[in-house]
Amino acid sequence: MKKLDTGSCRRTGETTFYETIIDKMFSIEEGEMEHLSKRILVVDDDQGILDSFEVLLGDRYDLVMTDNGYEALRIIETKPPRLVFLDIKMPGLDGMDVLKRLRKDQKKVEVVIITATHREETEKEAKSLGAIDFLMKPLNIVEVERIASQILS
Amino acid sequence: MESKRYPKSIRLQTRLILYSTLLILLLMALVIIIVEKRQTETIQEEAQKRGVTMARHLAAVSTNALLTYNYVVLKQNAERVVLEEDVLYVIIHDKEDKVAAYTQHDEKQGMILTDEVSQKATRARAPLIQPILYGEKEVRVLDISIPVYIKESQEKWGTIRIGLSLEGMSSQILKTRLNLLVLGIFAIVLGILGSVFFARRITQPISNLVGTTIAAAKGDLEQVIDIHTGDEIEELGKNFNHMIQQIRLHQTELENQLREITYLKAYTDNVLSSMTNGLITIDLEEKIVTLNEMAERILGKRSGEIVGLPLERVLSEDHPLYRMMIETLSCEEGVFRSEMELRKDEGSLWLTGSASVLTDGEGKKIGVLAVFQDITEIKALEEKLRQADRLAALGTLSAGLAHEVKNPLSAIKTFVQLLPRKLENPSFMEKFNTTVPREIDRINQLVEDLLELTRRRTPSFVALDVNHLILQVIDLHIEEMKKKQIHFEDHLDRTLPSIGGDPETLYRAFSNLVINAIQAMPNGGVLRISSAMEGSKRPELNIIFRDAGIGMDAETAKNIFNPFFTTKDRGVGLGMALTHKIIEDHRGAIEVMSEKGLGTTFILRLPVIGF
Repeated sequence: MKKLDTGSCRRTGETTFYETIIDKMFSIEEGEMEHLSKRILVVDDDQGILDSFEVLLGDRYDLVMTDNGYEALRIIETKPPRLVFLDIKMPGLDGMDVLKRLRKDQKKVEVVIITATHREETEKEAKSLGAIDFLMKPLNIVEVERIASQILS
Repeated sequence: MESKRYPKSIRLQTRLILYSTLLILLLMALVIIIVEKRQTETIQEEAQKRGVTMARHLAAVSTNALLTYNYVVLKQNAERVVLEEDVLYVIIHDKEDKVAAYTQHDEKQGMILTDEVSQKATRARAPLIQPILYGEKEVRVLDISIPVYIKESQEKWGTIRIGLSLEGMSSQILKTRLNLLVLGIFAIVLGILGSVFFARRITQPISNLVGTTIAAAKGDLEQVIDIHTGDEIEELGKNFNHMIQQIRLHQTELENQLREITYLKAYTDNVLSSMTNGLITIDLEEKIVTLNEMAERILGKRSGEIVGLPLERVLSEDHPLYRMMIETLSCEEGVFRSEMELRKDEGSLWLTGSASVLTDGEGKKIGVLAVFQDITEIKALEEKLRQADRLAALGTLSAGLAHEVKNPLSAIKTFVQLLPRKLENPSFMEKFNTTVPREIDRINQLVEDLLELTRRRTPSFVALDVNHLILQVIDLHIEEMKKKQIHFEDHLDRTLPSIGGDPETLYRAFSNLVINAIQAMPNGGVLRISSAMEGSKRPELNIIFRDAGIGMDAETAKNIFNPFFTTKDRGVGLGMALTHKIIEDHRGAIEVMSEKGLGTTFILRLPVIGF
């Protein structure tokens, strides 16, 4: 059911050998600093949410998407984005775990939490771990675009 | 009490003295009477003998004078004899009975005396003794007369008469009597003193014995009798000492037993009063015998007020405790009630309890024992827990629902907000046309699932082939499985009979189980599905779905069938809850076994219903 659509965007949820090679080619070919300025990572296990981000930000930013936490950490390590939209409830490594790991590794990346269920303690914890914002689903496109342009401008 | 019922007792000592004194008195009186009589007789005989002797002597010396009528000599003889002691008079009659001599009455000489005494005396042919009263003073006198005969002749020649005074003899008798009296009194006094002394000797040890027995009777058992009389009383004393010793032993034994009984009773009382359970016992007449403190508290009755009363008077006939105990009494077997409701003004009281038959040491029925506990608070707590469980389930449901709804809503919202801006963008429109209906369908499906989960309907069953349904589901997912390197192992028994069921819902249940297995094996693995018949009397179909996936911990496995149950990292949605409901609607059962890292197995049991 929770199947990633390959679409127009690069599919990184389930990385194959070839895709990893392509990723590496990209990073070598285009240069780290250039893409750093425009790269946004979206982490969510729901295909609808990923599709939303694709149509909303895909034509303006270098959008990378994944449906799990492990893959997210790998992408941040290999192709660091400037902004991450991070879902909390995901199979495997969840959003809070990813955030903790980033804090531990002292990664310089801005994180915005996107979640369906609001819990004050979760929001507090996320902010204490350095999340710059906490967005509730259904997402407000104006707010998403504003955050993206603010961080990446 | 004793003195009222019986005449006042006379002391043994007094009685002994009294009896012995009486005996002495009687004996002495008898002795005195006999001795006095003998003495008197002897004195009288002596006097008579003396009188007769004097008369014979006078007759002997006066015979010649009588033959010759010599009155002078006769008078002289008479005068001499009258001088003798106690001789009052002497009369000599001649042959013709005339007076020949009469001392102090010379004038009577020659006369014949006509008084009766003289007549008898002169006529007598043998010696005659007549007691008479003589003279004016009427002195007691013995008139002794002797006829005078000449040798070898029968002819009487005269009569000799002597009047012998009895006064001297009487004084002698009096003297003897006085002597006897003095002697008698002395003997009596001595006898009384003796009897007092002996009575004391006999009764003293008895008094001691009596004193000791009185003290013992009053409870002083430290008494020891020390009597050495060498007789039955000493034997009695010894026996008494032995008896007292036995009593002391028995008393000590009884005291020990009493102490033990008291201790046991106190112990039992403590146990009863410390019990957190209420306890009532009744006898065969349904009267209350025991009621402990907890029972008092639960029933709101005081033990002192109701012990001994019939149970029916204390508890009403519809009281559950009353019914339980009476049922036990009549059925003679234990009764258990997990819940009993006592309606009270301030609300219901809930009890749990049991009653059993009480028997004595020989197994004979003697009553009924009921033990019960107030579980009102436990019930309230259980209710609170149920409430909390319901709230927790509602919370889980709400959170799950929010998650499942908000994701598609978010997507739809984004696409709709972008629509005016990207209306001319064909690739957006293409994306719009695939994404928005899909997300709407997701929400719709969720609503459908929820409704299905809560719907109470009688499924319309038809004969169906379970294997066929399972293979249809596998067909639908086979491409995805291949992609994820999941291999399907077919262990379906092709000889299975048709069973009764709803093909549409069963298809969904199997589909959910296959999807769950695919999701559990992101890195590939084996999905093994088997089916088989089991049981002959009540045959049922066993279907097993086994994956080699990531598995679940115990907590997750336990809650897997709860709607929207989620773990830290995974939401299971409604799929498994729905599967559970579908199997239950088919009067079947589903259970899960799982181990983290090793995989999960679902076991379905469906009854075979013939058509």
